[in-house]
Amino acid sequence: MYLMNKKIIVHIFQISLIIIFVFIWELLSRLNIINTFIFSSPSKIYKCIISLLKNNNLLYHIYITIKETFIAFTLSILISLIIAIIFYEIPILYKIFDPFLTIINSTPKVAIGPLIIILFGASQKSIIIMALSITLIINILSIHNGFISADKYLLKLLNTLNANKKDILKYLILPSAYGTIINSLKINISMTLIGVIMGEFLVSKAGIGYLIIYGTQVFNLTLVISGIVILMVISYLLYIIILIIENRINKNHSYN
Amino acid sequence: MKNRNILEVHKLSKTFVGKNEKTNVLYNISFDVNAGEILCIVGTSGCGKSTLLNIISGLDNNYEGNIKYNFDKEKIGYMLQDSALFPWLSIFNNANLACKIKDINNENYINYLLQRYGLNDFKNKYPDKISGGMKQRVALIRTISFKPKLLLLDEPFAALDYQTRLSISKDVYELIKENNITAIIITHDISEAISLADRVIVLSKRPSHIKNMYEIKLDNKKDPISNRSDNKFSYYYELIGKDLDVFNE
Repeated sequence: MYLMNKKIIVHIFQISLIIIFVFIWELLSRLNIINTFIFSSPSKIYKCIISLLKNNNLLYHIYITIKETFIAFTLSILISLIIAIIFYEIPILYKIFDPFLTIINSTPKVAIGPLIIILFGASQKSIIIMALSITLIINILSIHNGFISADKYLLKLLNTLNANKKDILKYLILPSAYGTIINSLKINISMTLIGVIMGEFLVSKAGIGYLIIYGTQVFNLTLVISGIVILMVISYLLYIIILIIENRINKNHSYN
Repeated sequence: MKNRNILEVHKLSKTFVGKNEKTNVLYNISFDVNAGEILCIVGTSGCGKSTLLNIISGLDNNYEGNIKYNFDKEKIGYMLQDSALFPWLSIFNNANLACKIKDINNENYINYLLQRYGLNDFKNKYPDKISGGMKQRVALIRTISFKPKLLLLDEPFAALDYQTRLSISKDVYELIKENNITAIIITHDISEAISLADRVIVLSKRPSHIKNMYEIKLDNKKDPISNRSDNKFSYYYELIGKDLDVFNE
């Protein structure tokens, strides 16, 4: 009961903060204290979003961004899981590639954006590769780290049973890295969205990133801020979806 | 069948090579293990008892000397000091793990053992829901489940309280004798060794060699708990205690 009350209080505060922020923003813009051309106003953003929905096929742009995010996210998880397993099974490969991965990971990905466009063309493929370039290496490193920190004592036990590599993966390595993988998913979903928007800035003909860059080009900053607001909502919803998946898996395999 | 050697260890030595130094752990160790017997190996901590068991189990292949296995080496069961249960597997799946890995179906036997040791109500629960003694019983069932020929036990009761130690050592003893399993048990507890073993090997300090070997011939040998009150118990205790210098410390 006490926890429930605490939760409700937290939610009330969170919603109040948003309402206060929106109210002050609207008030400042109506009183002309802030420049609405640059900072826009909540009412203008609302009107902009409604007009985008009616006239500019907003849902299509949202669909494109979510589709690209979903493809990049799935690919990132699958590829990083496979590479992390290969690195775990062949540790010398990991040792060879480790410094290269660190260097590539620390390179700002926007810098390689033009190169990606030249290599893969001005298409959705480039956007997905851009998103992958952001998430893949960090994902490989964190999942691999989860693998190597598996309990050595349990590994010894499996060795006493003459378990093969497949059994070791199935019974020890993958389940013990479960927490790391779920955490990677949570961080990854927003990182992928960042990558997709960066890609859309560079090459797209549709998507929320395209709307924002279009808004910048025609100096319609209300459109830019509307795009950002829509992105925030998408990002939050994607995070919630991951949480639901995590809870569903936890329910089926609960040992807590 | 009785007294046939199931295992022959011949002139076994082991050296750990570090960056700057070599440590001789085991030196020139030879002994046989008869089929169906319980052999206890005692020694002070750090003398290399676990290393010896790792070598016999096949986990450590880097040694000098010979080991002859007169049975299928796949049929070695190794029970570690800690129960080593997988937190994400249910009690039943933990108990069934060895059979799963070895592709054997012994579910009826596992269910029977779970029932026998009062674990049936917990079989769908996870290891964090049961006590230390129960965990060790699950580990014992897992080790016995595929009916090993040779059972290796590395201080299997060390992490338990005294009462639980006694009752689990009785369970282990019963299962070993019922299934006619040969067992090598490592312990630093002299009483435990005498109460369980048919034979006790005393290892010296490092580099370990066999200091003495005793056939344990109690007047009225029963189970590990009753054996402790046998007339000859203190006689062996004194002999082994002297070998290990426990009375001078």
